[in-house]
Amino acid sequence: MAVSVDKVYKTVLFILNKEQRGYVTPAEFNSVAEQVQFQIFESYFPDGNQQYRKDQTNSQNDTEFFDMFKDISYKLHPFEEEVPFTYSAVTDGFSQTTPVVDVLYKIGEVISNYTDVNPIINSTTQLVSKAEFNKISRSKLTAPDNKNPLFFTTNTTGNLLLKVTPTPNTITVNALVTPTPPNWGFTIGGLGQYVYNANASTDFELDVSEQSLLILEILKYFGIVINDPTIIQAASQEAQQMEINEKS
Amino acid sequence: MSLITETNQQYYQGAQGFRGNGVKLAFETTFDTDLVLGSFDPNDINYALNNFKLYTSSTGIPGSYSEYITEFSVVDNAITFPIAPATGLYIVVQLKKLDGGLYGANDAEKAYGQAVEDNYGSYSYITLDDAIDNFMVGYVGGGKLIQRAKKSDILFFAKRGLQEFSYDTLKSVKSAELTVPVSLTLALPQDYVNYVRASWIDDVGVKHIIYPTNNLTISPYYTQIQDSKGIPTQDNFGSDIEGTSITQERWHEGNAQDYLVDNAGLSGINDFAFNWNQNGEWIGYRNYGELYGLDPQYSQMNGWFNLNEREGKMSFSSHLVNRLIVLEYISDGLAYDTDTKIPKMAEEALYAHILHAVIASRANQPEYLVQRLKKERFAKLRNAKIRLSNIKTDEIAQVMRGKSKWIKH
Repeated sequence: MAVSVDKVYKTVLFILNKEQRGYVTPAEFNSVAEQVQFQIFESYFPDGNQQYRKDQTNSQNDTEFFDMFKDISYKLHPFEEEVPFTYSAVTDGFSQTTPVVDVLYKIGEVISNYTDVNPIINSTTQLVSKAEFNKISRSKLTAPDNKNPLFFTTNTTGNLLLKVTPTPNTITVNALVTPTPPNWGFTIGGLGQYVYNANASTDFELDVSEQSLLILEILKYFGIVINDPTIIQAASQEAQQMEINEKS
Repeated sequence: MSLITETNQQYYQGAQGFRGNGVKLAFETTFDTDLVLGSFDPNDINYALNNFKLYTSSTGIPGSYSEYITEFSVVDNAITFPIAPATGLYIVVQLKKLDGGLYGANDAEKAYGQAVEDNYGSYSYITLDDAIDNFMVGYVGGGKLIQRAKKSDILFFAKRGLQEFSYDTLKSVKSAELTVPVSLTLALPQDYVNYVRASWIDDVGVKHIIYPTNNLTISPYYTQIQDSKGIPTQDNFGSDIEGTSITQERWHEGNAQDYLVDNAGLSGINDFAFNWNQNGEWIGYRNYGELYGLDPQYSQMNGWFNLNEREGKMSFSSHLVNRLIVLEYISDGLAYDTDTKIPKMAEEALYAHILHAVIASRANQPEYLVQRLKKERFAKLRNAKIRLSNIKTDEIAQVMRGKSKWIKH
């Protein structure tokens, strides 16, 4: 479930007002909100990787709600999509179908669909580098076929191009797309004030559990700092302890 | 989910029936065998590629079926008609069978072939693709010994494993029935890796093992033409001129007269030994081994073969000319798609082989782990060998009963 942009903006304004730190215009807020959303989104990958490494020591738990790796991967669900790709004979590869709706962030699993054979074959396609592709396809034992296809990535006029061998009829690409920038849309009220307009707004795509973090991070950008060094120390220690608890 | 998905009728008869309802266009078959459609039209040259025939009947009564040769296609193993078959129409897909199946009204309509027989016994095997998928599920992933692996690596080790197993663990199932021509040489089978046994077949179908020549003769690899000084001569392109092998020529011409006692007596079962008959009596005069007595490796009359590595042929002794021989040999299990299957009795051994190979070929793996997997692989491979040896206690007992016979010296 997404985080309401209106709720975040109003909370930020409320805290700024309480701390007497001035006012943030919607344009300023939107700009910082986009930055913070992307920052949190990117933090999932090192965090997820760290949690996954626990599997190596067999110390990961498999409980329903306390599996940290699962929790982090769940937070990526809003950004996971099946992105359409189209084959071009000119480039001899698959590129994102135009018009591009979502901006790709990471390519996940690619399924190659060979529909002109019987039975139809849908094969998981292995991503390799160009150098690996040259090596793998030279060995008769591992040369790609429609049950074990390979692909590498390159580009055509700046756009991502997937070169799949042997060329399938279609491909199904599971990918992560970049978060849509949040936008606190408004109209001007009778007193010249900003009035929230839900129809012109875009909520944060992050999971609802990230609401507190979003607000805190945005506040950081607007200079909410506590000047008392002992409080800073205590707070940072507490934050560090929380992080250790979460990741150990 | 059970592993058998075919019905008894599909497995034994190779047939699956449907009923038309006037609406449905596609009828999905569920054979283990994939349908192969070259053409629906018997006049098309590709019609012979089909591995099935399609029959229809309005009543479903035996003998009322006729072959359906109007347009249809096969998409993902579903028979797809351009126009929906009439309501109540009986439709039968018959895979090709040695007896032609039950539905064709005459020889032209019967589905002759062996698609059904090819599938018989398939339950005792798994395909290499299935084995690789199973391995990826069971052995690769978070919390497992192999955290991540490229599928191409697994594919490589699986195929290498199948090759190695084919040489000394799996059953030798390949054999070719051939007739020795006048040239006394036969080209090696296309998927030949090594021979297991060569035998000639007598008039009553009994096989007689023929043995390699060992030290008796040889097929020379190079047969250069020499000048008067013994130097090989070259052609216009600077390469040595090769002649035919005189050794082979002499062997083919000579051995029947010089080495065999009774060249004419090989038409039936013949147990004469070299120089000696079965009563231990000396026979013949000019036989091989005359001077030093009987040499057991040459004490047989079935004949000899040797491998001509240069020509990729098997060469036979001359008294085997025009005889029927059976060559049992091993391949590497990867020659044809239908070969890439593993007996279920060796499935676990293949997984152990891949697991060991992946871990052993990786950097920074603890040696105790590599050694543990090596032992596991060895034990599972030994189990597979024992299982595939097909040793049955009652069969052993039957063989051992022969031990009580008095052996004459």
